[in-house]
Amino acid sequence: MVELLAPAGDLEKLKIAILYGANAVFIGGLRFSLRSRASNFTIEDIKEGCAFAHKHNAKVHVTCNIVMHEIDTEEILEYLKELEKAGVDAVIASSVTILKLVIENTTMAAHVSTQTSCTSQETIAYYQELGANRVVLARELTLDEIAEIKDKTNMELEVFIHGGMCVSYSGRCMLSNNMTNRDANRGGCAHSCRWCYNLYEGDERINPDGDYFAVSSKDLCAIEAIPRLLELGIDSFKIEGRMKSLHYIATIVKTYRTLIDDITMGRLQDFNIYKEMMSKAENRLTSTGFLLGQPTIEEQLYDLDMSIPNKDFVGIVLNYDEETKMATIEQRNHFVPNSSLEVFGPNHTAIISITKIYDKDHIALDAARHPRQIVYFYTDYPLEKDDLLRLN
Amino acid sequence: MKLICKLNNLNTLNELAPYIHGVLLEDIHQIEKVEALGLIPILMLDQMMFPKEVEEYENLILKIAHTSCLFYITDIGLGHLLKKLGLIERTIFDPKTMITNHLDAEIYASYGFHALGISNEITLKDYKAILEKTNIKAFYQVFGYRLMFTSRRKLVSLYSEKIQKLISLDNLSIEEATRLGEERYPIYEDQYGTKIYRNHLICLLKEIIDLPMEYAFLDDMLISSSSFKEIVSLFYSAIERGDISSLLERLDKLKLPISDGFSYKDSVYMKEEF
Repeated sequence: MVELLAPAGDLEKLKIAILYGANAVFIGGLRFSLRSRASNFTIEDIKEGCAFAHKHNAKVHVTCNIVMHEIDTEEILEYLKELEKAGVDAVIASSVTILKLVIENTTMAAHVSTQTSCTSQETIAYYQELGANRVVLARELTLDEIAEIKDKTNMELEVFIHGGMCVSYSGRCMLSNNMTNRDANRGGCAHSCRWCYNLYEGDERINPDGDYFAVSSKDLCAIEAIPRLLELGIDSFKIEGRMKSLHYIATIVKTYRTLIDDITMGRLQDFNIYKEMMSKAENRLTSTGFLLGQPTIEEQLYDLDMSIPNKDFVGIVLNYDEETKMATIEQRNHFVPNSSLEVFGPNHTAIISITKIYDKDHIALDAARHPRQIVYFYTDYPLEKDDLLRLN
Repeated sequence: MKLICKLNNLNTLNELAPYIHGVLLEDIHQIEKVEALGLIPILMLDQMMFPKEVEEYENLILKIAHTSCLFYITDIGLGHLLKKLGLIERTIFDPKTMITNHLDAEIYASYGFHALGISNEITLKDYKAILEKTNIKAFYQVFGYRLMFTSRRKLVSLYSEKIQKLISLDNLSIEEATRLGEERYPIYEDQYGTKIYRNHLICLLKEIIDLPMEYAFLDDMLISSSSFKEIVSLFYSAIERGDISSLLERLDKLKLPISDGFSYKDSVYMKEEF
């Protein structure tokens, strides 16, 4: 069965990703990880995350994918040993040193990061000879190229199916570093590829006023490609976005979980149904990237403000008392009494109406307006812990 | 130390030959000419290799295996292919950003590569530390515009289609419109995709004597033939004589847009956020 691999920026997201259908999560530790602005995990967090994941038959992969400078090379083995002790299943790395240390000194699996831009069976053969267990394929590959690679290797293959795309070959981009001194290969990417550029031929500006030359790509959404990828026997489908919100992760994971299960059970629906499910999370504009062929202008992001924000996620269920019918909610966005809410849980969805909202002293509120405020309401619908609520 | 040039203008080769040791070539038909001048031909295979291209690359490599040429690659997949073909000891592997410490350098060296390209993103202090701690032969760019972005997407052609205006692929540059001011970055597109270069030249003339390396690489991209001849002459003299004070004066007269890059300035890791 294919592994659905989700990102998690903290313990809460890790748990939600697994509850909503991920078979594995990838997280960053406090060291050697590429997303320095993601809320990375301490060793204690990793330990707790692994215990939770293993209890739910899921795995934890830890990214150690920085490009190490001389100063970074100290204590890497000790750190890997700590990860192993914490129960981590796999380490994702681009440095051949880190990969070899994992292979030769631990029981964890060694996964070759997409930062290495694996674009052919020959690249995979190199890492296989090194002893790696899995390769994350480059996002520049088409479905036909992935099929050809799959045909020529017995290495485990992981393919990105959703999320942000580097427009450069991953791991080879120095735009951010040269333009801002923030090193993308050490976790400091300033996303310079998403800035606005004027294009010149000689000294003449070519782009019309206000119509900037952009190098940025729309995000990846592989819904249409999932049937073929399943058919090819790809081992893992990866969702990008360790810095994304809890609601985003729950929504995207559940959509792909539903899609994969529907295909497996022979009940695939119209792709628009899955796209509609996904649209409830905040999203940038999406495309199929390289999967269906060389990108056209439809895959490029020229209007850089065209993201689709979403404030519909209003809270997460902490508890539901079946006797009193009272739900305890942690607020995540403003909502008011007399609202219609969609309950969005790992195993169910429903529409409910709420009339009143109360605080902890049972005083009726005119709104749940404070972030992470604990509020209460009555509903006959049996809510479950970790259900998400969004405006209907 | 050997001076290696990449020449967009091959007409200058005869004049430059006495001062250089080798040439990076894109065209296999130039190999004989370079050999005849007593220089090392180095074939540039600096693209990422995709599944359908493996056979094509193999045929190309076998066709010229009998020559004295070295192979310059940036994709480890090509390295694996060259190893299978018994040519790894004639291969220079330069993954651009990936070789940034002595541990990684040692592992790649143990694979059998002839030389390794050290990352442009590290300081010269780190560069020297890697060379001191290993026995590798280094390939390092000491002059020219350094590459900072490579994409498989044909970004200029796509934009041309978007604005419905024919754009010539020659002499293009981009300028960040809202943050960075009037800095122009050369941008190129070909059948393989798009490349963007730094807006300033790197020129390690005053440092060259103290930098251990097998191959010092100079690129003539966007430099006039006369200026490039002078540059090659300056580097040759620096290596031969060691005294660079008069050479630096000659360099100043060329009024080239030079900056140090990361030679003395380490990039930001943002460790404080951990």
